[in-house]
Amino acid sequence: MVTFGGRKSQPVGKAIYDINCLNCHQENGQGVASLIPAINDPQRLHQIKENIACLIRQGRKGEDSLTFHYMPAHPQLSEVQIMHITNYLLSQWGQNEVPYNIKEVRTQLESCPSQSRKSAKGS
Amino acid sequence: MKNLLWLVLIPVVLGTYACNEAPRQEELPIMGQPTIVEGDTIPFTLPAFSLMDQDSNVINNESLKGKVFVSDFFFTSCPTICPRMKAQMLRIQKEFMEDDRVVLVSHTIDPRFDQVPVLKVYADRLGIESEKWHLLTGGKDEIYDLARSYMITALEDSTAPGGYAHSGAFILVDQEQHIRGFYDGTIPDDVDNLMGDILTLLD
Repeated sequence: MVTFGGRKSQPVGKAIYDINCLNCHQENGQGVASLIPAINDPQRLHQIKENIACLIRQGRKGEDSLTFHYMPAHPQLSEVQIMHITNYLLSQWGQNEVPYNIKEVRTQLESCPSQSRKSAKGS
Repeated sequence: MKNLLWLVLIPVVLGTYACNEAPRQEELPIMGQPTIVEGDTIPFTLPAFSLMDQDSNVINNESLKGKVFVSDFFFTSCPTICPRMKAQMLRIQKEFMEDDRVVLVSHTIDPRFDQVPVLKVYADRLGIESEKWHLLTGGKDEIYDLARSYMITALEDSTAPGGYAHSGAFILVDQEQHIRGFYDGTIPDDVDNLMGDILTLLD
């Protein structure tokens, strides 16, 4: 029964984070200088919470033409895995954030901005 | 990484060559295939190279002469181990910031994209100190040949994330441009070993 994340998400979420996110965002979520943004900041987490599932799945285009300034997409991650990562981040570095359940993650993923529009914006 | 394993054997072999010299405490092995000229054993030395850094300075054997340096290979759009390696390189930069006998050199294996202006932006975002840490670009063949001289893997591979596969090694080079050690640039403990060995070379 993977209905709610919360505390249960932590070990699973950490394992998925370690494989998919840690190379860039580092062990403690601090990122790398101003090359890779920190995600251990409660305010930032709160800001991106509303579209965090889309961000993880689709990645993000850079603001300029330099391809290193981007976050890669993660099409290989399932909805459940995305929920676990999200709840891991929220519990680890968020401030009193309510964890997502799978329904909420699914709803968010269904309304992600389309990829093509995103890339047109980024170029 | 696998082909790094057999490199561990090289110092064992070289240890026998090094016996001609007076043994010293904590001496680091000289790695690579030595050449024998008229009965004399010439230790392996980095071949001639000439590349350009993020500030368009030419960096070559001459400009690095007398320096202890740490080398690695990366590319700016690398989505895998590079950010971890760079986070560790930042630690080394910080540790030896005030010591101009030590420099860092990171070679791009994607020189077609990673030209000077790209390296410059990357360097700025990382907080790289120009005199301390050179991000190098140049001819692709030259860089790949150099990687082979360093005995590490660097190749174009369309199946690898980002299109390139490369080793996460940090390579320690001494004042005479002999290779003195290989370390895993993604493991903080091994980078601690590297920083200790830098001190040995400076001693």
